[in-house]
Amino acid sequence: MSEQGKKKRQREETEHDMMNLIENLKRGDDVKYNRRAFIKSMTGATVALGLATIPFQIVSANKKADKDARVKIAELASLPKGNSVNFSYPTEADTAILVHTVEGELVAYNNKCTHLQCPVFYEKERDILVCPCHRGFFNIKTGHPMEGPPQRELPLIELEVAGGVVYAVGRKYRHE
Amino acid sequence: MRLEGSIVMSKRGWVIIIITSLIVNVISLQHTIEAYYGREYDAVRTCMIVSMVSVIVALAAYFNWKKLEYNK
Repeated sequence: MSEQGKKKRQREETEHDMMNLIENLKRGDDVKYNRRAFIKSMTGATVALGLATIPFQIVSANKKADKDARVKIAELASLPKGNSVNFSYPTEADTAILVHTVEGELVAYNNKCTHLQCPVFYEKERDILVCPCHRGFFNIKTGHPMEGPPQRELPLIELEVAGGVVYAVGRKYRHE
Repeated sequence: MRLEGSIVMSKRGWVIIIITSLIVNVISLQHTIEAYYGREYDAVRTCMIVSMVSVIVALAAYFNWKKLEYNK
């Protein structure tokens, strides 16, 4: 807008720099970013966040519970202390790891890292489960994350040993 | 706050309710996602109900605030 086109109150009264400090104010921003707009945006955000929970409910309503099948994993004799073996439970897509720990315990978890689904491996030297993708570490006794980006525990596979054979009999997603 | 058929409250009061609803919904969404990945579907439902109630409260507060704000 030219100097002539401006209304009287908008015209600069002086050329002195220190007197023209309002030149950097943008009227458009004043109209857009004000208290009313902020409260409206806040209400919009509240509604959007609330509605964002609905898809989770819809998807979870269609999910079926695991069928607790009894699946043979390995012969105990073929798995010495400090070794691990991979298997799938409860479906072929759910890969898992059975570990015979250094202390002689048998533990099994689904081996998809709870961070970004990378496979988790057993590290005998430290007696720990490690995800090499982003250096996530899980406690071998509990399956809970100890270090790195994972925040949730690995799903626990419940085991049964009968006649020298290790079976998977169930799965717990949340556990102590 | 005075009850005479409808709730009478200052604009600031309604804004505080909207902010509280926003906080509730942020926390609720976080719990929903955690519960979903942990396959705790009952918790997902509970969080969704909390969020829906919070949305209704926020909208009611917003319309009350709007009525006061533009009624000058």
